[in-house]
Amino acid sequence: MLFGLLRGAALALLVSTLVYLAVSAYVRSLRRQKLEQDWDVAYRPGENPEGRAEFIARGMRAFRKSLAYRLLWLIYAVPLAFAVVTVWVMNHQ
Amino acid sequence: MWTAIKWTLVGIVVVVFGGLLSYTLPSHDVVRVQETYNRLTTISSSNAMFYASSDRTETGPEQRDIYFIRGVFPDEKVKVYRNEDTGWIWPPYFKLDSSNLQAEAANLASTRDAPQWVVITYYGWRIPFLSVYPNAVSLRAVDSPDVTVVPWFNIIFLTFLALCVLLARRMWMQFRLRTIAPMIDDVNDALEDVSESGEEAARRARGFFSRLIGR
Repeated sequence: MLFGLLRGAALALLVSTLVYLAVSAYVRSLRRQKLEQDWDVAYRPGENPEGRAEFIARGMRAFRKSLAYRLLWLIYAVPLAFAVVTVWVMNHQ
Repeated sequence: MWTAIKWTLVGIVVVVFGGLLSYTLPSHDVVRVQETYNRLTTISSSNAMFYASSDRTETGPEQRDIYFIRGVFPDEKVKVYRNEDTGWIWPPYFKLDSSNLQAEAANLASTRDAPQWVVITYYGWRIPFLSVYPNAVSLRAVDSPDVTVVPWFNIIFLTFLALCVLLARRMWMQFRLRTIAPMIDDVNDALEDVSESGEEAARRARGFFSRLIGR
């Protein structure tokens, strides 16, 4: 019984981690694409003292600290909350 | 030929996935509980996947005491439900209270002349040929057999699932655009540099990679 719970928790952790990694790579890719486009629209070569690579790196650092990116932890939190609610609803009288 | 293979594979995926959803998602029946009982049940390799998995280590057919609930529909058709804990993994109902459910079902049992209707929530299929029974998950008493049960959970879950499929599709397209395509371009650039004797091989390799990514 307790062993089953541990096994289920380990499996859920594994699946959540895979989903988290995939989704975070996706949103970072979208953000990088947008930063590249922003640069290409805003500046001609040599117009900005900061190079294109630095501009993108700075934008990515800011993005990693943003609330939107941190909310990706909900990928772990929401299914866990859902499981707890399910256990409660299923087993209380 | 390839079209036929492709559509066969698509068909298999749809049938398997649809079957999985149909088996696992909760359904509702309005029945009268005629009787509750437990029976020593033989579980063989052909239907073991439709029962709760056990912790035993020995192999071969297994005998186990299982709770059952007999339901009778308003039109006198019958359906027998098993009542087993699901445990913690699959299907994720986290049902641990089968003894309580059995007591509730016994308490709501009624006769044909004075029926007490109940909405029984269950998942699974009844396959008489394999001795497979749907698993009752919960039940509640209702006044009339004409009650309408809105499958809220299934509506929300299937909507969420559709959104997940759309997201996965967009993620894959982004991955192709931003990760795979540049890699192919690099390979093609490298192949451009190959000496004349390598022209033919390069052309073939380009064709191969183009086909791999489908453009």
